[in-house]
Amino acid sequence: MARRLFPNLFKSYDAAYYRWWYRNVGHQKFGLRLDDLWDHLNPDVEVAISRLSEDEYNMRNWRLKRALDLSMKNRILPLEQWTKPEDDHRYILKHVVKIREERLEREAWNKL
Amino acid sequence: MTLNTRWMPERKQHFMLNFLSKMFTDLPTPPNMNYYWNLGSLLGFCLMMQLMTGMLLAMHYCPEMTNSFDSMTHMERNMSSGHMLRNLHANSASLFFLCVYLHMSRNMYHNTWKNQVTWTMGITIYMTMIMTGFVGYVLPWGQMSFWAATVMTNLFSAMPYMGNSMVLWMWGSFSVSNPTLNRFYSLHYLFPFMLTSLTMMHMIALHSENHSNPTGSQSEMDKLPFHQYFTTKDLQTTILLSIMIFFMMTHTPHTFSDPENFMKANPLMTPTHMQPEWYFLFAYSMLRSMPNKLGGILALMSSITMLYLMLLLKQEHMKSSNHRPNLKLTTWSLSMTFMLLTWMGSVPAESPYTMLSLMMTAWYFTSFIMLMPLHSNTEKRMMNKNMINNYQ
Repeated sequence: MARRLFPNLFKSYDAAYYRWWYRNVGHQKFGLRLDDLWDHLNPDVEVAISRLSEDEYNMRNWRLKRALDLSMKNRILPLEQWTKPEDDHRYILKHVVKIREERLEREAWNKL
Repeated sequence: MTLNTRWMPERKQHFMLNFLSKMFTDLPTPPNMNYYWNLGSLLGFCLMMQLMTGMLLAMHYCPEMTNSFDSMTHMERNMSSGHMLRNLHANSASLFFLCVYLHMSRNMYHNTWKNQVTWTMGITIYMTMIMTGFVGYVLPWGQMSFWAATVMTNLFSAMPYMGNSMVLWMWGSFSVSNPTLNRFYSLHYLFPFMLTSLTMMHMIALHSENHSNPTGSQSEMDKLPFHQYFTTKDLQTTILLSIMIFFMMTHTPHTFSDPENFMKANPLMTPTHMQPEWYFLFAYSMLRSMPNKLGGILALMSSITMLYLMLLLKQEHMKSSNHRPNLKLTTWSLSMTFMLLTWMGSVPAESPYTMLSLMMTAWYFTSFIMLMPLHSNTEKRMMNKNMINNYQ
């Protein structure tokens, strides 16, 4: 409710909080993208992963395998290989948004 | 034809061998499981140790009020290696609880409540362990055993309407006496078998749901067979734990024992400083911190049953607090709160410890009821926002 009443206030808070959160998530040092952190067992995310192109899917698997390997060796990547924000594309989020809309539409139709 | 090639088809075809191979040898396992993942096998080892030592002790124990303390003395002094057997059982119980708390803290950190069936089974196992430990502690019939039974059973009298009747029904008499000891002995024999079946269900649920790993990410693209990699790793820590147990048993067997329990139970003399074993101290400090009796009991019970509510937490992240900075802070603070509450349970109930216990109890419940859902919602919002373009 507070967000609806004071949207601009929360906008600047969200931006500042997001900067802190993004810096501390820690996915960059494993060479992961933010969208690699989605729960793959979430039904929407599962469908989104199935809609990825072959290249995107293979690169995702490669990044996750590299992260597993680094975790096993208790190491992180050298600084120059960390994921940069400009390379951190939200390649799954765009699909998840569409899939959620489709699901909601389907549920609304099923109620009729 | 080598032994390996002759063995392989039989392992897959025989129904029992196939089940065992899927559970233990051929189980696909993430490669990056660290030593925290050994706690499961250590718990199984502790359970087996308790079952074996318990059965041997039960052959010599006499569950009768006037003879139980003397039968324990007989075991300690007259029976060949009886003191080792008794100390092994008592100290393994402490290590059992240490391992279970480490196991639970790892699960909290790595958000394994997403494996709902495994989590539910795990909390049920923990509650069964508490009941087993409590009824088992009464059996030696020392001062602390008797008064712990009196205090804990009297807590049920705070229940409205049927509290007093329930207490009398539990005692089987008008006070903690021979019928109570007999039924506690019977329950102490029953609960470990319930524990064993719950443990097996817990393992089956774990292997049918997704195996977690330290990064929390998907691991289907890179798996290793459980045998030989993780059987050897589990064996390392099992040997280490055995060395610890045997060192404790031979050099410092009474570290966790209360001196009051070396005296036979006397219903006319209350011990000066009543306290349970160290693994119940956190709940005991919560119970003591509340000024109201019923409030203290509710705090005690809800501190454990609250863990079932973790199943309601919604999250879209993968399992692990490694990539969830808010939740990481909360889980670490919960661990510190738990340790502080354990310490405060051991000190006398006076200022400033009562106020500190109350504050720690409030923080404990705040973490579960407010902070964790808040972090889940916040991080869900962050994951669903595309703000990387605005990031500087």
